Amino acid sequence: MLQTRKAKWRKLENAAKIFPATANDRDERVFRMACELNEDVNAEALQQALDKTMTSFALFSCVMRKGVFWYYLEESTLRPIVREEYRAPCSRLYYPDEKTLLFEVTYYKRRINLEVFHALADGTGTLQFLRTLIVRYLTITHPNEVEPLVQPQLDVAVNGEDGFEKYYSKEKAAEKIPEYKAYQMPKSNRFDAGEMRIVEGVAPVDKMLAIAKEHGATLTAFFAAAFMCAIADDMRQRDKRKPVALMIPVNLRHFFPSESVRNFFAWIDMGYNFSRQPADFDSVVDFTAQFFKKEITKERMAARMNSYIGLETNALMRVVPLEIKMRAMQLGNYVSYGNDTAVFSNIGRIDLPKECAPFVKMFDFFTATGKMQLCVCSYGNNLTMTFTTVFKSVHVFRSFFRTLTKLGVPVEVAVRSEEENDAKL
Amino acid sequence: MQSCKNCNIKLRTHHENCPLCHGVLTGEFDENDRVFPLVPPKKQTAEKQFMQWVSFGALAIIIVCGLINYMLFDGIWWSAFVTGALLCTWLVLAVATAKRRNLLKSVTWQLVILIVLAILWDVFTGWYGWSIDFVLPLAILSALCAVIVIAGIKKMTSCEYMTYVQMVCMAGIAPFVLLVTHTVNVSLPSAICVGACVLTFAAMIIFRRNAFFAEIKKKFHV
Repeated sequence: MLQTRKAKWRKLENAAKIFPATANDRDERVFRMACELNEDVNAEALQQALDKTMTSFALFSCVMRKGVFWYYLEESTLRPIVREEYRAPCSRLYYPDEKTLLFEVTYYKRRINLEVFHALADGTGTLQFLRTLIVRYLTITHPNEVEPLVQPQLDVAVNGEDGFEKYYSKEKAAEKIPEYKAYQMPKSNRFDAGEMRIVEGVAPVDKMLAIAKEHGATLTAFFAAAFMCAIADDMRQRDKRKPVALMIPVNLRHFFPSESVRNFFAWIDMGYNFSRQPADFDSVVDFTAQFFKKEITKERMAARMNSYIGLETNALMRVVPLEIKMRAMQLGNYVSYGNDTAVFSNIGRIDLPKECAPFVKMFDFFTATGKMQLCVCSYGNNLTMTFTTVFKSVHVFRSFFRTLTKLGVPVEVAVRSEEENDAKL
Repeated sequence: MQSCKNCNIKLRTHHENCPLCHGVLTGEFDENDRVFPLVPPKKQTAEKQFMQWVSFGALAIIIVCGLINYMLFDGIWWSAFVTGALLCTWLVLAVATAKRRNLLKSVTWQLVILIVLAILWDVFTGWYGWSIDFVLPLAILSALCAVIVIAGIKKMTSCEYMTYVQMVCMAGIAPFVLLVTHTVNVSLPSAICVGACVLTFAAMIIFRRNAFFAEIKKKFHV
């Protein structure tokens, strides 16, 4: 007989709506957070830890479905299965019509990898999941050393709260948000669709912090400047008429308190014109430090957030059928391609309970991209800077890491590309 | 661990030359340090390959028939029928492949395509009305049976099948309108189809009331 089930479902929040419509082979919209332990991963314990973790994160059991007007997430009874890493990092997770989980946990040697489709959660939300998973795993493998996690944020309603809806206000302050027609790296020099290069650099946190401080900047401002200079280094003189612009996602939880694991971020675009503004590194650091101080404030971020949501709450927009909305979002995505050169995302310091420290070496964080993206995170004294790119040239990474090594920072680098993978098989 | 003197970096992955400057590396790579596993290269999916062959095969037959028809022309452009038939087959297969991940969605799509194509064939071959007399009601009936049987066998939950049952039942409006306006010549198939649709619809409301309305609310949220 036909079965019934009361299905829990939720709307996609504002920032998440674009992801299912624009996920494709050029940009899968998947990101990875990995944790490198000091010993090989025990698959069985990891599966147990994952099963336990799932009970506190109902959101992660959701599958993506289409309604007439919008996508929505529907809770499923699927059980995630841990397996050894078997395909390229950040491979596709969401296929239209397929009711599969939107995340995956894999392991390889000492690494535990959590890959998430961006419509499900953002970096901060995913980190909550990963942190819980790691601590649960360590309590299983090292029961005497690591205490079971006392988790305060288990409230499902809070867990899956839509931060945008909570903080949206219709009053629009007349804020002018800077926009750019940014320099684009030449498309002729790209890998095939679905392929990218990963360049992961690890450096000591204390050394990096000291150097950023010497330059009078925060780590984020310092890295943004180093990234922009590295891009400029590879530009032809005539391209320098256009600014190098970075898109920088900003965690809105810093300004609008929310325990949600779902998407709750906005972004700023920061442009620097290397033909008109001074091109030396120190000037660029000064600029980025000032820019961040000015732009990353509660008022400025609220203005950005409200401008996205204004579009979504427009009554006319809402009743357009999903299929047409999807095309519109794809078009919008295509048009806004020129707004920035690359993406820079810093999720900052990752905290684990103190007793986990002897077992965890570092974290890594990177995402699938349609261009080039730098993701930064740190744990203990290991700061990880990971580039992902669809462009074949390695010039930008070379300049970037040489900037660091010239300042006396020791850097360890790991590189992965499809070409090398296939050549070694 | 390998390292590059030129770039002043150490490498955690294995390379012949420095991946950044192509310079010479010193040191040895330790297999235990491997960060990323070697994975099998991405392959084209079987479905994509299948559709490539279907497209090519259909095109080849159309061209060959066109050529034969042209060379041995006897007053009838029979290759036009071959072309039409192959285009229809191609469309049905293409949609089936594209929607393969959701069987019920596939059934619903096939229903729409089948009806539209049948009416088109009927129109372009001199309108005998067989498309609305037989194809329309029988296609809806078969789709209704297919959806219910698939949902039952695959033990689907209401959130998976309800929308499709609703959609197929709503398709029953078409034969109903044709019936009351006396547009159909043979009324029995249409009558049975409308009856089945209404009955199923009513059964869903009576036995699966909550799921029925919850699904509408969910699918139509704005």
